[in-house]
Amino acid sequence: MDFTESEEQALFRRQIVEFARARLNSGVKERESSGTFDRAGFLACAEIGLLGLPVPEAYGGLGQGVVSSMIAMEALGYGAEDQGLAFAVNTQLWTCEVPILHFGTEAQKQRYLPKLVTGELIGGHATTEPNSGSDAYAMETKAELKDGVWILNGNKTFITNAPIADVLIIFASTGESKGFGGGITAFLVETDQKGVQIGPPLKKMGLKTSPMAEVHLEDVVVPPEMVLGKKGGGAAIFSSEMEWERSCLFACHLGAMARQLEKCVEYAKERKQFGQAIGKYQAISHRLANMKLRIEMARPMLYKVGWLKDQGQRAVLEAAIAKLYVSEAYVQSSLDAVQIFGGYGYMEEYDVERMLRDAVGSVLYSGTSDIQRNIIARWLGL
Amino acid sequence: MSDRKTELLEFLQKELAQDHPGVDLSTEPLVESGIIDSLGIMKLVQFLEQRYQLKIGDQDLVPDNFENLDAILRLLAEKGR
Ligand SMILES: Cc1cc2nc3c(=O)[nH]c(=O)nc-3n(C[C@H](O)[C@H](O)[C@H](O)COP(=O)(O)OP(=O)(O)OC[C@H]3O[C@@H](n4cnc5c(N)ncnc54)[C@H](O)[C@@H]3O)c2cc1C
Repeated sequence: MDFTESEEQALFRRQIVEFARARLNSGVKERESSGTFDRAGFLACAEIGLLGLPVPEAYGGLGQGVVSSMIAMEALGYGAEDQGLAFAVNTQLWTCEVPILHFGTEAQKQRYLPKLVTGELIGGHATTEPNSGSDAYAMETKAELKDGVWILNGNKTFITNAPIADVLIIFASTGESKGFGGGITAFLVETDQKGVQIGPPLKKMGLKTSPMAEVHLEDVVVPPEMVLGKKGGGAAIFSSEMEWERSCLFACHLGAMARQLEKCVEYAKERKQFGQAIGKYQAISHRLANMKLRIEMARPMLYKVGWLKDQGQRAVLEAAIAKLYVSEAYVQSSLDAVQIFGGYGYMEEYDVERMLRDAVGSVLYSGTSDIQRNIIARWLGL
Repeated sequence: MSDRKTELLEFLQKELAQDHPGVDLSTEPLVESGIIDSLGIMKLVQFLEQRYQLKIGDQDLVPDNFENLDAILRLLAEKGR
């Protein structure tokens, strides 16, 4: 396994960091307090190619592999303070573009990919429901075939990008019985279709600049050509999405952790108590050392997933391990950052508390920590 | 019984069907009975790909292809192994 960065990758990393600092960071605090999505920033991300990272040039993308995409996402997480915006970008990439790219028909790819890459369209995916979260395949949303078209009915919740989305991949049960065996199918649904209702934006603990809502589906008519992949193939699409998300989105979090550490080191050198910089106290320096350790442990775990995927191999176990480790490390380091900043860390002005609030979601989405441990345990034969 | 069938039965018994003692895995509906679930299918596919040096596309990961042992053997045959 070799994760050595090529010159080209290193240059791209630097360009993205500079871009993010210059174009995405002003006004973050204001957007965070008003819960405003930065559409201009989103379009700027499209302009430098971030929204087309894994998409082939034929559809307007950059045609990058997984490791290169991860490097770009790590750079985005490092440079961009607006982690809600970065989350919206990641959602579009890994839960909308990548499944269309890997499972879509040529007509579906032509219809959606070029416009998703330019940011003209915004996308997401909808699996979670009020009664089915971790137990995703127990979903109640049903799709029934009537007179040659699919009719979708059900309710989805916690859907990232829903308030701004043009197209959503909706997962629904297409079998007689519920659950994986019954058959889950993915459908491409446009949000202006009759019967699609997007609820008001949900108020969250963190990632406040990333819009989220419930999605209600009432007799939504979906023609057969808008089925993504095969009937009953929804679980495979969902698993594939999760492998991408668990590597690339969490690379973005790795970048945020590196920025957080730099901020903490700087503060520990400047802030003086009892006549010397707090960084001179072992309690603080060891906390910083642990933050560094987590970053260094997380990086190879994550890039291993990317490397395996670039070799065409499956990485279910490795993605679960990396996701679990990075998310828990991110939360712990964010708590440590608040501790290092003391009372100032608790105040909005210093941004440290925002990082903590943004980090907490990571142990929940893409499968909670418990679910990742369940996956690892299954691989151990338990 | 073919070698492949024996190997598959062994894998299913050891890795996926521990909670289903006494079941005849060669005839059991594997998906319907919950022996192969959403995680189990990934584990099985990884085993098949590594053991038989083949690639099973994500498009083929539908419950129908795994509903029983015969369906899995058919899928392997289709993949040229
Ligand atoms: C910021 C954010 C963005 C999201 N974006 C999307 C999106 O775009 N699309 C979408 O479809 N969903 C999205 N989600 C939803 C997310 O996928 C779910 O919240 C997650 O899968 C958990 O489901 P739940 O919230 O219903 O919790 P539950 O499944 O009810 O879990 C509650 C608790 O029980 C534990 N638990 C449940 N089952 C088990 C088990 N078998 N073993 C051990 N512990 C268990 C969980 O770990 C958790 O601690 C998002 C969530 C968040 C926070």
